[in-house]
Amino acid sequence: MRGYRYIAPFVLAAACAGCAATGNGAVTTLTRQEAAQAIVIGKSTRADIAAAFGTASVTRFANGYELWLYQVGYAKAVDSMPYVNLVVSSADNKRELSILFDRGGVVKKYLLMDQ
Amino acid sequence: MMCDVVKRWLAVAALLGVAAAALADGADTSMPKVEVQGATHDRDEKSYRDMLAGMDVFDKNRGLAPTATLRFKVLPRHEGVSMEGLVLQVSGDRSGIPVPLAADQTFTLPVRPDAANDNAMVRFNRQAGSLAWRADVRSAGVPPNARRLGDLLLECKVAMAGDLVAYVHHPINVLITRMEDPCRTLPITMFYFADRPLFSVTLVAGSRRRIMPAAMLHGPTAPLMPNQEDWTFLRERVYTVKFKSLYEQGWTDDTVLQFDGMDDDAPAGSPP
Repeated sequence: MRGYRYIAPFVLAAACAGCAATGNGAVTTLTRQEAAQAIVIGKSTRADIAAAFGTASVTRFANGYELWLYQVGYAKAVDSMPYVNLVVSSADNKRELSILFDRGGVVKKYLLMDQ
Repeated sequence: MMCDVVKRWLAVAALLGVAAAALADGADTSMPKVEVQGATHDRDEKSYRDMLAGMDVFDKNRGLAPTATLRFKVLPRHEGVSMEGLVLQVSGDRSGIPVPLAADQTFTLPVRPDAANDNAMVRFNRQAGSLAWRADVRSAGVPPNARRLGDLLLECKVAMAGDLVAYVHHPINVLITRMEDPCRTLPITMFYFADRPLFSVTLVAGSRRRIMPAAMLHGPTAPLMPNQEDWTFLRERVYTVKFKSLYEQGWTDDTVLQFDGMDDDAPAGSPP
């Protein structure tokens, strides 16, 4: 039982640290109309998206594509933390913006999830 | 939400307690060491007996997917692993049974009690750690860009019984795989591979639809021990499922996961 005393603060601290909006916070109140104006498929670049929404959580794939993720709630990084990921998960987030860039760094798809 | 977090923390604390007790029980130094003569240790292989146990689990849980068939499947686990020329065999000290492999790297296993008693292994002609192993349960009538939730749950159960999936061998993880029905009763995450790179997944049950959160796609941002996991190489195809929470939210076996691929023209849940 003694070990829990050491683990518990770590879990809670990590959970709190991961509890925030990714980027500049614009996604928190982003409407679908605003998203459609800010993100143009086949045209918007990484620089355009970074300017509009700030720094994203980025996943790079072997096929050359890149996924930028803006989350309101827990950052996806908490899903990699042992013990923490048994307690909290970014899967509980109700709002997030996913943007897929093609090999040339141009938006191929995006999805505003709000539920 | 905080209440939910506290509940989960208590669940983890309970799990830790169980794990500690199990480890204490397992520290039996009187157990004899058994050395296996002539075993091949450098091939990618699974226990034939375990995989038969997985097949038994499939038969006992047919209610989840009444029209489904069970196959097993392998995928490359690292860059440079060739899937050409794969040869599969059920191999023991006194048994050697060739197993045909389909073009999509799926296969079924013959039931041979003599091989099970011979402690046979299901063995590929590849180095250990080259392949990701999965069960492949497919109900009739499911579109190619979709999977049925009951099929996936059954795959999870078979994978647990057959010890198919590579995972970080932390004591808690080991304990979980040995528990009764962890797929359905514990908040675990199971990793699956779609046929193509994924952009999003939508749960569909009749008129009810929900886009799965990005957390369930492409695996964790920074896997801590990628060498002990089997999904990282094909991460653009990876999605994960937490059955316990989905079923608690009322999603049923017949729920369909619809895939929107990175290269699909018409994305599901596309912006207006």
